[in-house]
Amino acid sequence: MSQRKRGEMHVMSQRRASRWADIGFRGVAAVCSAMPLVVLAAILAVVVAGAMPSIRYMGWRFITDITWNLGNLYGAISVHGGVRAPAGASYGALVFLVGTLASSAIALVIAVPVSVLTAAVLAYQVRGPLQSLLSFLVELLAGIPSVVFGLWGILVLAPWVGSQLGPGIAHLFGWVPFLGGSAGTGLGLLTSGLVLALMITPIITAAVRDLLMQVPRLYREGGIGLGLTSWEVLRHVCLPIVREGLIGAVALGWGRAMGETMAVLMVGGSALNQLPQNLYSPISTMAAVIANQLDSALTDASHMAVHALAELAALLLVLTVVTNLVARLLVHRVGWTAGARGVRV
Amino acid sequence: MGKSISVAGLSAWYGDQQTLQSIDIELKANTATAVIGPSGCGKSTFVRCLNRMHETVPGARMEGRVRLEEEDLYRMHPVDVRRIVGMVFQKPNPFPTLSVFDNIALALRLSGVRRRSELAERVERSLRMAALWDEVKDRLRQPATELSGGQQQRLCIARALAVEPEVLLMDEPASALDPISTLRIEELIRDLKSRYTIVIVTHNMQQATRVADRTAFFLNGELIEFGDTSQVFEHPRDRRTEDYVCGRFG
Amino acid sequence: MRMDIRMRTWMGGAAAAALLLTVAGCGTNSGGGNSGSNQTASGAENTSSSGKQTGASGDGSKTVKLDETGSSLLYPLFNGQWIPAYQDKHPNVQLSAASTGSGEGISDSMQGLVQIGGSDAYLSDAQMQQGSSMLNIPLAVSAQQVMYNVPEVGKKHLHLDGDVLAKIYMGQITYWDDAAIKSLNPGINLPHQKIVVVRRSDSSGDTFLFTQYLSDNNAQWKSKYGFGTDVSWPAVNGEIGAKGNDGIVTALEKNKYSISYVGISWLNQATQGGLGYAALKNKSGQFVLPTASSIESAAAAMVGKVPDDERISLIDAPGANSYPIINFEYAIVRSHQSDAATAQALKNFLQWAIDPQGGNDTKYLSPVHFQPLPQDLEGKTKAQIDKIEG
Repeated sequence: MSQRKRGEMHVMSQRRASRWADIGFRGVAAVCSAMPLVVLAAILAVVVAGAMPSIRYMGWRFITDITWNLGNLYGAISVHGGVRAPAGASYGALVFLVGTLASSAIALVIAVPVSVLTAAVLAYQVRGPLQSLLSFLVELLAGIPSVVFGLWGILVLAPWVGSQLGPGIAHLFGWVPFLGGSAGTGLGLLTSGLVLALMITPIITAAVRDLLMQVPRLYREGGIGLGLTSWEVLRHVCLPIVREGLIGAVALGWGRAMGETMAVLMVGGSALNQLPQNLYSPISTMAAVIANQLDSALTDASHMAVHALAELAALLLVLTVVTNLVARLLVHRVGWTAGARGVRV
Repeated sequence: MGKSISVAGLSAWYGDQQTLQSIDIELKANTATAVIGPSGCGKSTFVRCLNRMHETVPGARMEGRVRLEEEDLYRMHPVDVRRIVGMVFQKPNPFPTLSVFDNIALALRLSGVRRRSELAERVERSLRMAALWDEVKDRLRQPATELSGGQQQRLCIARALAVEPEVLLMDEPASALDPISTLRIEELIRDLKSRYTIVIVTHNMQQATRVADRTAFFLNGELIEFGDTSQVFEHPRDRRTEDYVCGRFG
Repeated sequence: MRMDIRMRTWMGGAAAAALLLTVAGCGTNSGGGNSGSNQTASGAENTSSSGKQTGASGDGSKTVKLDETGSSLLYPLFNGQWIPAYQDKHPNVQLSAASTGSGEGISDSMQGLVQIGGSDAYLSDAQMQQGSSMLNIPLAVSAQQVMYNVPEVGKKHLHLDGDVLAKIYMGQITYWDDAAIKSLNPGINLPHQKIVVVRRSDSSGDTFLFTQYLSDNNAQWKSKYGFGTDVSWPAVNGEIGAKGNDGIVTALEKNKYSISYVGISWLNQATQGGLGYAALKNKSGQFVLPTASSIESAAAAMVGKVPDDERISLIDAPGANSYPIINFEYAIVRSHQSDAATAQALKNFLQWAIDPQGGNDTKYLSPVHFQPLPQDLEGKTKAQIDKIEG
C-alpha cells in the first residue's frame, strides 16, 4: 500500500517536474525568439552612439563628399562647433558608398541568373546520388572562407581580368558608357563584382533550390502538359510561385555582398578620394575601409576617426536593412499588380 | 479534328519497378475511351506515356511505340507532343499566380500569339468550349484560385483546349470534385468528343458508362480487356474484368 | 583567429567610442583641454581596479604577466626571438605578444590593457597630452626600401629621390622615362610606360615612414597630404591599394611598371621575386642603398638630435653614407603601472631588450632585419625606463 502510494507520488512529482520543464522551455523559447530583435537593436544603438560625434561633425557631407582624410594625426587638434577633430580631417564616404553598391550590384546581376538556373537543375533535372553530390558541392562552395576567394582573386582572376576580360569588354562594348576606357590593372570594380558573385552564388543557389523543391509537382505538370519548355515552366510557373522567397534569397545574397570585407579588400584596388570612372576602376567598400583604417583611427587622439568608422558601420547596417525592406516592399507591389494585370510575357 | 492513337509493346518503369507490361491498344479518333482498374494498375502511367509526361519524372523510363495516326510520338520533340496531346489532371491545377485570363493566354502568348484581339478571342472560345464563359466573363482579371474547384477544373480544360490539341487526356478529372461539378465535367466530355479524341482515366464505373464509347480494363500493369463500354460492363470476356466491374475487388 | 582579433578590435573601438561619448556628454561646456583630463581620470580608475586584481605584492619571486600587442613588424621579434630567450632566464615572467597593428597596441597600452604597445611610430603631441604620461622607448632600428617592377631595368638600382617619388605619388610624373627620372639615371634605358603607383590600403608603419620621406622632400606633399600611418592619398589614375607588405609585393610582381615601398624585412623575398630596389638620395645628395652599415650610420648620425622623450623622425639623417628612410621601433608604455611587481618586471625586460648583450644582440635582430640601437642612445633610453613606477 505504502509502496503504491509512493509510486503514485513519484508519478505526480514527475508530472509536476515536466510541467515546470514546459514552463522553462517556453521561457527559453520566448527569450530566444526575442534575441534577433534585441541583438539588432543593441548593435544599432552601439554603432549609432559611436557615430554621433562624426554625424555632428560631417552632417550630410558624410554621404555626399568624396574626400576621406583622417587629418593630420601628428598635428594639432582643432575644435569645430564643439567637436574635436584633427586638422584637415574630412570623412566623406561617397566613394565607399558607391563602391559598395556598384560591386554588389554587379555581383547580383551575375549571381542571380546563374543561381536560379543552377537551383532549377538541382531541384528538377537531377536526382539520387548526383543530386546529393551537386548539392554537397554547392554547400561546400558556400563554406569557403572569403580570404581564400580573395587570394584566388588577386593571384588568378585579377591578372586575367586586367589582361584579357577587361580589354575584351572595353574593345567590344567600348561605345557603352562606363564600359569603355582604360581596362586598368585588374584590381577594381569588375574583379570585385566577379569575386562577390562567386561568393554569393552558392548561398542564393541553395536557398532557391529549397524554394523550387517546395513548388508542388502538380503545378509544374500543368505547365509541362501544355507543351511549355522547362525554361518556360520555370519562368512562368515556378518562379512566380516562389517569388517572395526568391526576393528574400536575393536580399540575403545582396546583404552578404555588401558586407563582405576580406575578398573585396584584396581585389578592389582600395580607391581613395575618387569615384569609379568605368567598370575597371579601383574601388573601396565600406566594410573594407573599416577593416583597413581602424588601426590608424585608434591613434587619433580626438577619437573622431573611430567615430567616423562607426558612422560608416551604421551606414552599412542601415543600407542592408533598407535594401531588405525595399526588396520586400517590391514583392508586395508586384504581387498586387500580378493579380490585377497579369505578368507580361 | 481528333486523331487516332495506336500503342504497340508499351512498357514503363519507375526506377526498378515496372508499372506497364507490353501494352497494345488502338484508340479511334473522336471517341472517348475510359481507362479503368484498381489503384496501382498502371492506368495513370498509361495515359502519361501518351503525352510523354511519364519521362519527366526523374528515374522514369519506357519502351515501345506510340503513334498518332502515322506519326511516332517518341520521335517528335516532347514539347510538340504535349501541344497535340493535351492533359487535364486529377486535381485542378490552374497557375496560382495568374488571373483567369492569363491562365489560358500564357501558352498562347508563348507560342507566338501577340495580338490582343486574337488573344481575347481565343480565350473566350476556349472558355465557351469548357462551358465556363458565362460564369467567369466578368472575373477574367481575378486570380484563378478564387474560382470554385469545379470551375478551376473546367478552366484547366479550357487551358488545355486553347492550344488546339488533337487528343485530350484526362486523369481522373472529377475525383476531387463534388457531384454537381462532376456532372458538368461529364457533360462537357460528351460534348467535346465530337472534336477530340478523349482518353479518361476513372475510378468511377458509372462515370465510365456515362461518358465513354469504349473502355479498357487494366490490372497489375496489363491490359486485360478492351471493347465497347456496354460490352465490357455487361458481357465481360475476362473473369477478372467481371470481378472488378461487379465490385468484387478494387 | 584573424576574425577574432578584428572582432575584438572592433568591440574595443566601439566601447571606447561609447565611453568617450558619455564623458563628452557630462561636460559640454568644457573645452578641448578638459576632456583630456577626464580621459586621464578614467584611465587611472582602470589601473587601480586591475591593481586590485593582481594584488600589489612587489615580491620578485611571484609570477608576473607582461603582455604586448601592436605592430606586425615587431611581432616576429617578440614572439620568435625575445620571448623564448628572455623566458629561458626569467621563468617567473610570463610574456605574451600579439600582432594587432600599431594603432591597437598604442590604444591598448594607453588604456592599461597591456604593458607594452608595439609601434612603428611614436605618439603624436595630441596623444601625449591625452593619456597619463606615456613613454616612447626605442627598441630597434628599422628601414624600408623603394621597389619596382620594370623589366627593362631589372635588378639594377635606380637612383630616386623624395621629390620625384612625391611627384609620382601625386600623379605629376606618370611615365618611367620622365625627364626628372632620366636625369637621376643617366645611361639607364627607361621605357616609355605608365607608372603603376602601388600603396598600402591598410594602416601601416611603412606608410608612416614613406610619407615622412615625401613630406621632408616635397613642400606640396607636406602641405596637402602630410604623413601618418594612413594618409588621404591623392587620386592617381591606375593606382593600386594593397593590404600588408605581402599584398604590396604581390601587386608589384603582378603588375609591370609598378612602384611601391616595402619594409626591409621583405627585401630578400621581394628581390627573389624579381623586383628591383632603389638607391635613395640622402641629405648629402648621395644615392644610398639600404645596408646594415648605411642604416647604422644614419641612426648614429641622429643620436645627438634625439630629445629626452625620444620621439623623433629619423628620416633624412645627415652623413654621406646615411640611408634616408629609417625609424625607431617603439615600445609604448605607461609610466605608471598597476603595481610595483609589474613595473619592476617591465623595467627589467626593457633594460634587457635595449642591452647590446641582451635583446639588442644582432643574433636576435638580424633574423627580422632590424639593426641595433646606436650605442650613445643608451643613457636617454635608460632614463626613460627608470620613469616606470608601480
